[in-house]
Amino acid sequence: MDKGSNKFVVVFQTAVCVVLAILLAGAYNGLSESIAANQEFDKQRNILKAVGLWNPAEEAGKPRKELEDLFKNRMRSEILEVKRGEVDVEVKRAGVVSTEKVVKVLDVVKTDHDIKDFANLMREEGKKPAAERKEYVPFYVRVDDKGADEAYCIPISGYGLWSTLYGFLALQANCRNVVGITFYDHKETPGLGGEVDNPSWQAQWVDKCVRGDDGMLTGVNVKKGGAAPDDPHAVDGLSGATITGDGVTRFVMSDLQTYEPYFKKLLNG
Amino acid sequence: MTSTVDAPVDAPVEKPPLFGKAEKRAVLDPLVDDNPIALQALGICSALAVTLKVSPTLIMCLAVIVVLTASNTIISMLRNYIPHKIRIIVMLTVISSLVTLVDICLKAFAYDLSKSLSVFIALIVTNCIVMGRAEAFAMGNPPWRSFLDGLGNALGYSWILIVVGVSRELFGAGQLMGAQIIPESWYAVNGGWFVNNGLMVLAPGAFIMIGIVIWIQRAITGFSEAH
Repeated sequence: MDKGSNKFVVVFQTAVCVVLAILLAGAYNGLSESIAANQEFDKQRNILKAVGLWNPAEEAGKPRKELEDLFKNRMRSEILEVKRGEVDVEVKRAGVVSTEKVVKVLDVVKTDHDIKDFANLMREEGKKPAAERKEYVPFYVRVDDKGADEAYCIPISGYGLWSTLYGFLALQANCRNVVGITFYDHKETPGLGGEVDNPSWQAQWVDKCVRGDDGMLTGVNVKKGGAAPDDPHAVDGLSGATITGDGVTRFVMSDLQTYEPYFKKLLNG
Repeated sequence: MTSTVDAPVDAPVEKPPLFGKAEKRAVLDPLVDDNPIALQALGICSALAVTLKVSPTLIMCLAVIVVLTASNTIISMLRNYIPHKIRIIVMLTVISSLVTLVDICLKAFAYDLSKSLSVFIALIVTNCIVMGRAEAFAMGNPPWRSFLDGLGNALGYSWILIVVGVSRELFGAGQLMGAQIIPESWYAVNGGWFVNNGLMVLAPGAFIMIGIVIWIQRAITGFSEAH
């Protein structure tokens, strides 16, 4: 075949692409399990950070095993049925734990190894129209030695500027004050939107109030130009990252709303 | 195409030496005399971004060494088949696949470091050194020599990054590899004289360090742009 011909060009580039694609697919297949394990541990670690059980600045070198034990002993995983605003005991009994924000039907099936009935139930849910489908979201409870609730940690996620940010927000047992916030995955610009990872910015969230005096949700406003020092409902915006900050304000509020029926029930006994 | 294209020497009459003059030059030149960062001012972007601390710097260097040697070798092996019209596309396909491979491996074996390097591993694709060596050297030289050229250039890139990384972490945080090096008693708050240099933890600190390295390097080699 003539090396300059279009036919050769097409055949050559196709061959290169196919070979490289097979190589990459093979590598990813072989390593996906340990990547998934790393990601799961990273989420657990961030939950511990949000609820104040792990301080990465001081305990950066803490062994993985210890953190995993801490998560096992001090955190209780729950699944909330969004529309009813109640912990789903059926689902809980099935021992389904997933750190995904919305437990998708397929994800639940994948993480659940034992309970066939539950998997079938989820498959049935998946066939219903979206409006009737039950939606499940996970959350995590920090418990003391006696098993009493100390803090609630909910997954938060939403759009910033370039990407979806994923993180956790923890509230005290009064469902009012923030214990901590953290992000474990985002693709915002390093130095600008990426500063959501900055520990001193995250520290501003501590003790901020997500409810007004009347008990209604207010969320926390990431305020461009800086928040007033005594404002309990706002934190400083990030320089050069207004859109990321607005995004955080928006999705923190909307995620809090998802859990609000449950919090309301907790508060009203 | 550049001047380094050799004659079709693929069918040599006698077997070329494993470490002849050309091979030595391929490795040693980029270390000092033809350093990609100091002389050609390539790959500056990542040199600024990842040199805040030593450990991400080392991982970045390792990643670039793997990608650059592998891409040079592969491109060189394919050089007689790659259609001239699409050579850049082929190079990019090869380079980006290698970078993705490195990224996957880091996620599996060094998750924390891969997170701290964030987008900069993926940006190796656009590191001018990798493309530059593929185009300027690997397209015109046999695989072994291209491998050595890739290694030499990656090492030339690496030593500068490490020098910059060490000085930024040492002067910016008083640490090396996360361990405190400057004794607490030296710090001004404890009655000593040392204060962490805030400039070093910002991007301009890296610019200044690279500038100093280039200055010293050119003072020694006597290189001047005017020639």
